[in-house]
Amino acid sequence: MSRFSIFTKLIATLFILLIPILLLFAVSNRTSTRVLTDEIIKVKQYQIETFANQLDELFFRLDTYKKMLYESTDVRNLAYPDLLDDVLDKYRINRTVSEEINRLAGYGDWKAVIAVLYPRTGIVIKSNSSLNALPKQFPAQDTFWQYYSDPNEDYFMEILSYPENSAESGDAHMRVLLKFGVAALRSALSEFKGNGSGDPFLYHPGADPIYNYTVNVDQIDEFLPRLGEIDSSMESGYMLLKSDKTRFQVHYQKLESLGWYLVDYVPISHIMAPISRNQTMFYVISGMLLFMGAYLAFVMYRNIQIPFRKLIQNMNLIEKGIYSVRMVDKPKGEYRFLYEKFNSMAAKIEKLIEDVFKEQLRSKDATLKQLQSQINPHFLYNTLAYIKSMIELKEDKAAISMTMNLSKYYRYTTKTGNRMVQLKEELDLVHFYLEIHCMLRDDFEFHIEVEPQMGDLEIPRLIVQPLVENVILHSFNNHSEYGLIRIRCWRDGTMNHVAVEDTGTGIDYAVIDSIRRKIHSSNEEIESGLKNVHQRLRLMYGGDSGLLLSQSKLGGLCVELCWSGREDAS
Amino acid sequence: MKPAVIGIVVMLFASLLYILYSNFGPDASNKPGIQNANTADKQVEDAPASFVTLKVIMPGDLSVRMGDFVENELNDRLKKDLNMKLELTYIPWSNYQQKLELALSTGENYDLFWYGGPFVSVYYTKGYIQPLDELLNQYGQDLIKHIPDENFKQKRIDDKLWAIPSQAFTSAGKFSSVMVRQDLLEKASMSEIKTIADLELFFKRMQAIDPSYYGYLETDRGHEMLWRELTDRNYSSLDERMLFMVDEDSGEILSYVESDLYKQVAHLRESWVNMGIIDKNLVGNPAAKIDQENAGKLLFRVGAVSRAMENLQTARNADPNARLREYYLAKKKPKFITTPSNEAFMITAASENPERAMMFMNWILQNKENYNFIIYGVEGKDYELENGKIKQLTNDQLIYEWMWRNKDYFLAPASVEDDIIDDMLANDENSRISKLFGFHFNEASVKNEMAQVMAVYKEKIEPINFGLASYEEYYEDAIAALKKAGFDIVFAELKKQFAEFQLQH
Repeated sequence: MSRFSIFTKLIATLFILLIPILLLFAVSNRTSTRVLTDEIIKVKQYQIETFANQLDELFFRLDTYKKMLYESTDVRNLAYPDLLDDVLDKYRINRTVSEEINRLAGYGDWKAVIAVLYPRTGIVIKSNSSLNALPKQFPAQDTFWQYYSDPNEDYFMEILSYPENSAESGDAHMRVLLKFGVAALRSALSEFKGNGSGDPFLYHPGADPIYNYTVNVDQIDEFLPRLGEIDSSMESGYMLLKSDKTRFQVHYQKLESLGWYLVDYVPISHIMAPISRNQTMFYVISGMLLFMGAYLAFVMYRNIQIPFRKLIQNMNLIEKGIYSVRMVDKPKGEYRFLYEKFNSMAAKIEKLIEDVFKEQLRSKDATLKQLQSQINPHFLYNTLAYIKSMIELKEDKAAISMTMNLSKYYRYTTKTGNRMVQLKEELDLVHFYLEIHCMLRDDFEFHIEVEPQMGDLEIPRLIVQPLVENVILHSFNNHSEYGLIRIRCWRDGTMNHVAVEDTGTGIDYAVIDSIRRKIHSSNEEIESGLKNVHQRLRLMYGGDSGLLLSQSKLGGLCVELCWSGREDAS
Repeated sequence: MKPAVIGIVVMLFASLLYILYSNFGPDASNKPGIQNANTADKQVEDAPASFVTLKVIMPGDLSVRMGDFVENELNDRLKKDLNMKLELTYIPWSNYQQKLELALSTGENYDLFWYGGPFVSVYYTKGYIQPLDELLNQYGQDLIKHIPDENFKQKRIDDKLWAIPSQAFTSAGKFSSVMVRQDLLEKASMSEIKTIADLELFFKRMQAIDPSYYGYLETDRGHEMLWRELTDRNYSSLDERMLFMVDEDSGEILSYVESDLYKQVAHLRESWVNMGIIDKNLVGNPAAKIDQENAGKLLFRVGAVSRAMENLQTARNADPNARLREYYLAKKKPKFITTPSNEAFMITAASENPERAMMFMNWILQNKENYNFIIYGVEGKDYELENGKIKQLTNDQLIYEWMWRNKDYFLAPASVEDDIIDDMLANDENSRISKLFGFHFNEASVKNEMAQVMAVYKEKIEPINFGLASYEEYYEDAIAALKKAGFDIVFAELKKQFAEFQLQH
């Protein structure tokens, strides 16, 4: 397993998940942007085309008025006042023409000044009586919606003279004039602006643009040089311009009537702003996801991968038999629990192994001691001497009995193969042992009481014998009375008990206490049979097992073996 | 997780939220509210919640500065103060009545319009306008404060108020004075005008100096100016149609076109045409007549109490030395107040925002600041104050000053001489309330006859009024046609209504 395997795998997975999404998003984003841009172009072109048509229509309608007036008999008649001798007639025609002009000028929302000039009489009939309604000077030629600059207000004007082609020679009898002020156009542009987005204006190369009232002049000034690039043969179109990081679609549509261009621009960046914001947001979220993913992988690597690897290393050590290893630098959370369990497991294993090893040692020790006692020349001499005496006394039965006991005792003691024996077998050994000593000394008797169900109980070999031996060696030596040894085996709940009592020399508490201390001491230097028994019991059956010393009701010492019987039950 | 990591995540999240919401906030607040007229329960002082566009019809032509002013400064202020904007539709003077009535009769969604006082009863009859009492009480406290009670009375019909008499200024004898070019009068070695003969002499002397000078602008009205001298009686015209008049002393309503006075006026006009005071070539061409005035070629015309002040700028454009002055013929005769305010603002019956219309009018008279702003524009940019007089820096008119002229806020133009201002302020001395005061002729019952009468009047009587058609030659035919059209029926109805009116007052 490589060092960063999980980490790298996680990162790789994240990339594999994110990259297709990012690609998909980028593609769909480009598509929607393109579709939207196309749609904006279409809508904007339609808008300005419609508005341009409205303006064209207006100017052509006004042109129609011009022709209507031009064709009107009344209007022409006024050019020749001499032919109308009647004052009333002249008044009525004057009034009719004036009313007609006013009526025409009143139609529609956008007002033009309509006037009929009679150069020969100097009379002017016009629809607007304002001070600057008409220019001071009129162009000599006939014009069609020509642009004029004027300090008061720029305007478009068209003139038609009667008779035809009379304007050049300067002898026109009548001229029909229509003037359309820029203010009305600006209002129209403002109104158009109010109905939709954009910032429309009218543009003609070489003239000041005509703006709406709420124009962004600075912005348009930036466009103006570029507008010069419009191909004059083009009726309409659009160009993409950029200023101050904002991209603009600049649309233009030529007004047929005026020859000017209606220009409007769309800040495409602004319109696209929500989309690009979404885009940015998506990338930010992706970045966050990536970051969080990497962080998660790192956290996993640090909190799972590393402790896990340490655990495996230590497992390997345990496998090799090094039980002293422990987990250090415990992390927080679940791994701490696992580490603790590992440590307690290792400790338990170590302890168990130690206990088994020690028990084996002590068991060997006990066997050795017993063997030593067996080959005690004194013991052997005594028994053999006894047998010889009995034979000499013709006490065959006693000789035979001794021989049998001795032989059974030795047979039992030589069966060293099994570490564990049944309680009844151990008690048999004790029985033989005591029988031998009984015969030799003839100063005590013994009783063995066993609860029937305990006979088959497995106990460590040679665990009762040392206690009996102890009694024989110490209790009856300087004792003249007839003694009694009682051995009782009983079960009390889960605890098994084997007590060895004697009637030997009374023993006081202080002595019992000193023996008890000796037994419970962990000092390896102190060697005794009782201590050996005690420690073997504890190793095999745990802390609540062991050797109890007390004064016996019989008068001597009571040594009691206690061990938990749970292992046996299971 | 470490605090640093939590911090980074929180920061990323916060920036994400910022990106999400930052661009939407201001946009939303800029959007104008849904148009809604339910503002009746709102306080006047507070700007109402919904944003409204108030559509107003104005006479004349939109000046360049006005277009700019409305779009920018004025609407910004109105948005702030009243949460509304103004959309002005200008109808040229020459066909104002025709186009206005077309707009009103077709129920176009205009809210507010101006016209002369006599039209209030006409539009009331036709149902073009709505009563204003409740609106005035609720939203028009400043109007009540700055406009005299009599002015309102005059706009009441059937116990209801139908128009706001926007002008509150001196008005006695309106249209019965004559305004002359004082500088030219003095050039003709004259000091003042007292009689018709003075006017004729003035014309003759000026003709001798420069024949291009033209005499007299009005050919349709201006009869009352002459009445002061031509008769000993005190007459006031019912309205500007010059069909009927009232005798101020007897309280009798009379048929003017059938009177001897009419004959005298017609003869005088005829003689003026012959003298050249009235230029017969210009009579049917109103725009050309105004051109003459604009060109500084006009010697005199009918006055209107404050016309000397109002027209001074126009006169000075043509002649920097021009001075104007108004005179009353037969000065001793009393002046009559028929219409204390000839200007009337009416709210259309079809208006969607009558409350705003009233609020807007109230706003104009609310304080001097608003008043100066809407009439003169921005101080320093459009006007300056010189010794308490106003000096306009642009020739472009904003809201017409005469529409809202108010005695509490009046500012004399810096260019106008003090004597003209004094004339104006003292005009109502020696004045009497006219018998016609508060009377409105309800033409509903005779509207067909009235229409026919007016058609005949225009065709047959007007040329006699103008002095083009000889009284002797054309009068009989004209009066016969007028009677055939139902003149007597109209006259009888008028007499009936006037008698009822007199009983009530």
